[in-house]
Amino acid sequence: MNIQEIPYTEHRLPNGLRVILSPHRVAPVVAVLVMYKVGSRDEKPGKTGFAHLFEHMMFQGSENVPKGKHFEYVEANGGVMNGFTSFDLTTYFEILPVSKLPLGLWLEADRMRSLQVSEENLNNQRAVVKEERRLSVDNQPYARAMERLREIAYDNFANQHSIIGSMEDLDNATLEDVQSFFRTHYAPNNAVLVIAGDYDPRRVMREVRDLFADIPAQPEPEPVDLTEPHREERREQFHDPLASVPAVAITWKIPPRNTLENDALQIAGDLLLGGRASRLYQRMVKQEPIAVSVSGGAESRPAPNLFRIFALHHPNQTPEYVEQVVYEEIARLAEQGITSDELERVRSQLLAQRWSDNLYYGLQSPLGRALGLAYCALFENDPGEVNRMTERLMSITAEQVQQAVAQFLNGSRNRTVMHVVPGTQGGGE
Amino acid sequence: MSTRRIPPPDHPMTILTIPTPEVVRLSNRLQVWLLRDKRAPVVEFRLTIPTGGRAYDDAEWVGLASATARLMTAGTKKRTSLQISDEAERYGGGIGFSANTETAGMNAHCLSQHLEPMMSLIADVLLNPTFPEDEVNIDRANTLQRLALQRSQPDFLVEERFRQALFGSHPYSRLAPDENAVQRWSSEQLQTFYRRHYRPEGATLIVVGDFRKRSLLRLLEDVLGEWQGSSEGEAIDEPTSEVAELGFHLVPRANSVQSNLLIGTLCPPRNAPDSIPLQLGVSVLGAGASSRLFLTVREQCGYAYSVGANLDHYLRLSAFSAYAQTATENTHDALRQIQSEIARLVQEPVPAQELQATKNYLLGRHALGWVTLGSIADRLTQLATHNLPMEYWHQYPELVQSTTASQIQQACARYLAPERMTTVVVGDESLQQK
Repeated sequence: MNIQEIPYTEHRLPNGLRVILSPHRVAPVVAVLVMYKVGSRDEKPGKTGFAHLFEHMMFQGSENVPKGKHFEYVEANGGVMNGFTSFDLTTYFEILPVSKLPLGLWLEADRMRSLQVSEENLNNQRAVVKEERRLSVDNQPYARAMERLREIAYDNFANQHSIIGSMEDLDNATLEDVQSFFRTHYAPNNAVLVIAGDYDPRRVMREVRDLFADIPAQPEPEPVDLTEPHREERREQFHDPLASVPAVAITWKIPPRNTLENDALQIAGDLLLGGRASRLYQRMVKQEPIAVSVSGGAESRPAPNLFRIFALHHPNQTPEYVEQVVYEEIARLAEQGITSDELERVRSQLLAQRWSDNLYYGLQSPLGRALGLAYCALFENDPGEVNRMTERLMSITAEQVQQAVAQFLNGSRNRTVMHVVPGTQGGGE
Repeated sequence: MSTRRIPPPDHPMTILTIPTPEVVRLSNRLQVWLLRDKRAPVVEFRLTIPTGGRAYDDAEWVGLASATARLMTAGTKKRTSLQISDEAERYGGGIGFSANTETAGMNAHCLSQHLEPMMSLIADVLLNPTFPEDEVNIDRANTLQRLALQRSQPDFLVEERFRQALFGSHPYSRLAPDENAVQRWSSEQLQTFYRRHYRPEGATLIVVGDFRKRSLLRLLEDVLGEWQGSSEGEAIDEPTSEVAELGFHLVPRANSVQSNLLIGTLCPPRNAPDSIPLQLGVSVLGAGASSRLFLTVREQCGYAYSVGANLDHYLRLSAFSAYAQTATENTHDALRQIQSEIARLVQEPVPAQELQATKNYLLGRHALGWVTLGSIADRLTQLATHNLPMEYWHQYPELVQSTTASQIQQACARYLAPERMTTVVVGDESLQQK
């Protein structure tokens, strides 16, 4: 099999900071990435959206980098940067010309050591994040329905609430919350630093030590309970005044990432929903045809995940019939299994994804390599898993896929169904 | 500790090398650009069809160019749509066509171990599409629903109205298909569009990745040789350089909680002498997180999450636009802030330090375009679609570095003057011009 390894070395500073070096000779650029083990799951009731708002605050000033200067340092030196918050992790990165690697390390060390933000900056970013919520959720068709779907699909608050959070909770965030969140979660022992690209690894470890080694470790944060009870089906109708085409969304709770079951359901997701040759696309968009589009697959968080299906359907079809077709295809997979031919196709795509420009697993870009190493370091406690995950998925057998579909998807247990109806309630058909 | 107040010293710089593809003309006059690069066991394909875009639709068939592109992979004399997708995926790849304003393009890739069968598949799709009637009917129904979906999305609505304001009745204004045309077309109209425009002479095929040149060239002659004809000579009216509808245009959208803003005008094309000064001016205004719009509209005022400015290039012109999405009640304040930042570019030269920072940012972004095989193929495609010289990317750093503040101010004064702007707002119906 044509699976090239991502080379890396791993180091740990006395304060617990994990450092991963992955030189990669492809263009004179370097990716500096810091990933913290904190996400929306760490938020308390009444504080939804805080982990993401906090991510914005990390660009608002630290001891030697006043507000606005982070952007300027990176861009005026020919770099790009960003941050993003997920359910479990928060990630910051810069991609810089190789000569500017020390700048990237300095910026990350300064804000890990000494976040300095004011009430004024918090209010400014609160307003920005509210616009982000309007842009990505409140002003978009289907987005509020999907937020609601997550709330009813899960039973545990840690998994239920959205990353962007509610307007009310954003209003309630205080400067004190910012400071205590920083102390609790933004410690070197709760983070991983990855440096990938065309740089000289010999001198970089000294620079890392000079900048990061004396940032004090903090007590480990309390682990969050992410467990989910099993339950019977839930269903809801959502009237979406912004939508013009009806939709059906279906989810099932499934096991966490890096389990045999989750791996098998990843493959099932590819078979059912990955690309135009997939079973649900062929049946729903081409053969019936009842759907305009259908998408989804298995999530892979280190927590009970959702297997999701989202179909935009033709208004002359009932959502009940759309559901029926989905369940028929799942039952067919559970009862009759899959052909070796189909499995072959999915495996080819897995191999191709590894080589793609894909941000997460793509071997081609320094950022893709850095992200893959960081995810595996924090989720699997072993960056080397990035070199095994493709083979792990490719070794899943047809029987294992069939078994997992039969156990987790072929039935109403743990299922959540939402029918999205265009228009306001009582507003006619 | 004091050493920590400023960043540590730089490492040595490595020079970015920009590759030049080899240009070959096949016997059917198709231009082929080959760039062998073994950084990944992948081959990327880009085909540019110069007259396959939406502007080349006949007035009574608006939307046909996009439908033709979408349905190129819907079946051939030898393969069904399912067989095409299935095979491409088996080769660790994919294949798709899309229509832009002027050009149509094919984007395909595969693992290099499957190069030969993938190339045969691409050739079959390119030479023998049949546009099966049942696939056309499925696509028709889906296109109508997608149109309804797009009309519920504010970013689509703002772009659609903005194009109308910029281009008026010129075909460049087209974004969505004409519903009436969608209802009427059949396989026959798609066939006709395909036969007229999807021709080798005038088109450019770009191949980047891990392949052997000699055998690939033989293979290309072999599988594409029967493809014949020219799309050259097809022409559309020269677009005007003046905006069709100046002023303020509101698109009322029920239940909007935010306004989508676009302010813009028409500018010269990418190969014009003042394009680089203009690109620099627009970058000072709205490229990246240290641009003027980001720092004022977002970081000072908190009016928007996403705010910036672009120069979108077409073959014969460019379109400048500044954009933001802001809460309904902030709409007019945000607009005024954006207008005053555009005006500042016209009124004052960009200070030296800010200009150098912007140049460095643009050149850094330039370097990032040469990292993956896909991004390299896309960079080369820009040369082909915009008729730029093969040396363009090699010369680009020098062109950027040598541009002066006064050249930028002159270009901005000429093209970005307030009286040349059109403004489109999608949002609550209560918003009127103030």
